[in-house]
Amino acid sequence: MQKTNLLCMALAMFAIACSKSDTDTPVVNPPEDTTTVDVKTGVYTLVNLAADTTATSGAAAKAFYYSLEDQKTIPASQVQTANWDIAFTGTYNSTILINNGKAKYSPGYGGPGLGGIYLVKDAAIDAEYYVGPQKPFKTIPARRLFDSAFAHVKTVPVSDDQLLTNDGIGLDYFGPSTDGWAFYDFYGLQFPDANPDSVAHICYSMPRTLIIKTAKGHYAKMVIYSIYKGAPELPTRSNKPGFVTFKYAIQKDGSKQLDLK
Amino acid sequence: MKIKHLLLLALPAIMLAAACKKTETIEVPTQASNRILSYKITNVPEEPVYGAVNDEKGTITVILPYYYYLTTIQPEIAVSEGATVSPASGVLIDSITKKLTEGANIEYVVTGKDGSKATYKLLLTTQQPDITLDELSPDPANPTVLYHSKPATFEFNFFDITGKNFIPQQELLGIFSTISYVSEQGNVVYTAVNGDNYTTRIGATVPSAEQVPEGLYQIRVTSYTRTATMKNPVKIQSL
Repeated sequence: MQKTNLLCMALAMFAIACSKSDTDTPVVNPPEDTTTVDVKTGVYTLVNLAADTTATSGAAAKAFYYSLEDQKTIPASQVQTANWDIAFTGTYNSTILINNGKAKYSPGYGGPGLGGIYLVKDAAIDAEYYVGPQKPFKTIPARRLFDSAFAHVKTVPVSDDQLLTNDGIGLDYFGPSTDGWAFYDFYGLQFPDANPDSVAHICYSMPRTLIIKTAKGHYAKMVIYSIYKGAPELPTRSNKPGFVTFKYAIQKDGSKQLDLK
Repeated sequence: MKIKHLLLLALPAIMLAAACKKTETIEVPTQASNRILSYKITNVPEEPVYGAVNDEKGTITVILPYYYYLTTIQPEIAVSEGATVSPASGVLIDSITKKLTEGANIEYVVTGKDGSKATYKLLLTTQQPDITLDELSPDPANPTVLYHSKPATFEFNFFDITGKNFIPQQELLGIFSTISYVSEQGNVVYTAVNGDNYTTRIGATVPSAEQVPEGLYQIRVTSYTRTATMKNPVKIQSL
């Protein structure tokens, strides 16, 4: 925990050092979304879901709670209910946490959530772009790789006790040394010849599928295409972060069958 | 022989007595139609937490498991047949930490099918153990001195508060212990939110002279829903 605090502090100081124009943006709570969508078993793509759109590379973004079951944003006041399934937290909302009432470090601790999360690594897909932790990619992974990685997952590949509950899935080998769903290029390593102002501190999504067990206990899979507005395949610093674009499939019959169309 | 006679005499007497007894039919009092039959908190892991409903006093007492640090509760309410309740079953109640410390002013109004109304007040409590504090100044005549921090020059002075039963910070739920400085007049001069909190130790920073002017102060710690104040003051001054 203290390590995290130090990292946060370092990042915060970096933010203070880097930010050119700090403007006080009033915190506006989005009005509570009362419309209900009947989300059936199937595949859905959500575009430009607005998380913390005022986030900087320095400080942790405001947590953003989302319901895959109902396709809506859930206010933070309901964190200990079964109303949300995934939370986007941390730097650029890049750490995905789930809702589990028994897990001390889940935001849903104390609540009724039954959630879990697992990152599927697909060796064949990884071989196309991935070199190693904190190393630039061979090439920026194309969108078809995301779709292939997603399609390859036809069922939940692990038992429930292998799903993470306390830990989230975040940036690849960034902070904690674990596999992640995105490469955070701190120094602009991916494009060493480019102006670091435009290519450093970029979050490149990776074609890795996340298994999500929802708060109510249904299984889902998702790939995150981008955290930038408009989901550019090749993001730069000029792209606005805090807008998540992802595809997910949810199975509502309680089974682990995720070969959904 | 004598006993037999006695019995023979007694029998008609008993029969007479039985014949004379009037049978009174006591009506079962009709149950009010505007009752809360059950009240349970459903947004907890596994089994719900039931509240104790008292019709006579018009109260619902819920002991929340403190170790869940519930910030919101979602009650499921059952009422008499044909009755309605407001706020309705399932309506969330938020800011629970605040309501636990300051009292929840929440009432449920049940309207029976005959139109009669009953009001139930919600009483929230926890069984969080009391916190205790070790004295920073064991001798009241000799207060321990803490020197002001100087944020302008990045000089921070730290001290430890030790004791029992502190609730470690729950960052995701926004639950932190706070440290207040109580003046000799009994006023809270400054309250710091703490982020370095363990069950028996809280790491604290001495406030600046702007936050807490020089003087004697009692230190008060609030950890989740419990508060304790040191008996002996500390002396806060600039170096």
